Amino acid sequence: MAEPKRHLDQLDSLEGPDLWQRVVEFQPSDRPLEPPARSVRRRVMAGSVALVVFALAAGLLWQALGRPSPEVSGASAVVPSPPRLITYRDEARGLTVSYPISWFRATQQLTPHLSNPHEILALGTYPLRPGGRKCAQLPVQAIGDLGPGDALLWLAERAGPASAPPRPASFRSALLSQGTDESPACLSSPKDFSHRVIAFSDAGRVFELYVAYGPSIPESRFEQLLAILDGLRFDRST
Amino acid sequence: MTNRDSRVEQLYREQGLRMWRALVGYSSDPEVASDAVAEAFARAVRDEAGIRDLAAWTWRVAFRLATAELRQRNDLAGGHPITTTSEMADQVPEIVAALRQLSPNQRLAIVMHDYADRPTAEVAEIIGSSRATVYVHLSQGRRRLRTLLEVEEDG
Repeated sequence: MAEPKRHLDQLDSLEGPDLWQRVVEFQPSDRPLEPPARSVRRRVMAGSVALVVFALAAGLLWQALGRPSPEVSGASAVVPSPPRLITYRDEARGLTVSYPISWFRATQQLTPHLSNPHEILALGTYPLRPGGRKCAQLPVQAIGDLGPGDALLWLAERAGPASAPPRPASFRSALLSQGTDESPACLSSPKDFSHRVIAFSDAGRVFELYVAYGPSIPESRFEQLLAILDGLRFDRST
Repeated sequence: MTNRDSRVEQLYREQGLRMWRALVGYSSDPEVASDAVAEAFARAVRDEAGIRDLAAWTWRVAFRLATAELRQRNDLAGGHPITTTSEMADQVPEIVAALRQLSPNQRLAIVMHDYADRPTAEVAEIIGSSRATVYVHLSQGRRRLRTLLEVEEDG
């Protein structure tokens, strides 16, 4: 066993995420856990039942032969289950956001040297690291860490007098248009990714949203990103 | 943070990362591993008062959650082999690739017992079999793994 055991220790090289924040925020469902595999006895019983059902079905099929065959309906669609969500409520910043449990929320400012606009939320499909060498106004380190299948959203709020177009009903078209922001120039090496800055107003407040995603982001993940953005709720400015 | 949370958190700090790595070895998918660990510990926080052996309970729940997720994906894929949804960049250890060649029960037995040092009784409970069956899975899995890794090293 020495050889496989030595190889199993390779697993120790994997850098795992700190999931405790997710544990605290997670609302466990009461869905039943996967039952243990069936015992041999149960398998035999299940096999017998299946045999009887098969025999009955074969009999019915035999009787049906010669009759006009019923119209076959369209192929059944496979509907993936929705991802499990965390709903995060930030009283101090007056926002509520729901995101899949597999996403990461930054627990510290990704733009520590930025005062206005002020960062209020950052979410990504990977662990988000703060800082960056250039461009204090953007989460440069997190953008640099973005992988080909990843997504990142970063939200900041403008203080003082400011204006912006009203929030769109959906961010879909804004996400699909290529941005002209300066984020690629902030990176230390060239990178292929989609990015844009979207300014908008909602609930009497003005926000700047930066969104980036990799060139091979799965469609399901893009839809998650869109659902997060469209589900953002803000408290009204007082 | 209450005292109740802190006992679960202490367990998380001691064993959470090892559990996550074991689940990556089992599922080949860091996303499945992260979801299972987070939900298992969240359930432990919620149900802790009624749990006798917190570590055994959490390991069992995490692996059952991962198994449920993998079976659901397998069903959605129409029985085709499981594909991972998360990138593991270029750092996939060869052991993860080799483990994928084993049967699910062999893989579960190997990562839980040989990697995570969990007792065979726990493995048996998760698989829903006897300890003797677990020893068979271990024996066959180790032999298969040894062959796979020898081939890779020779190649």
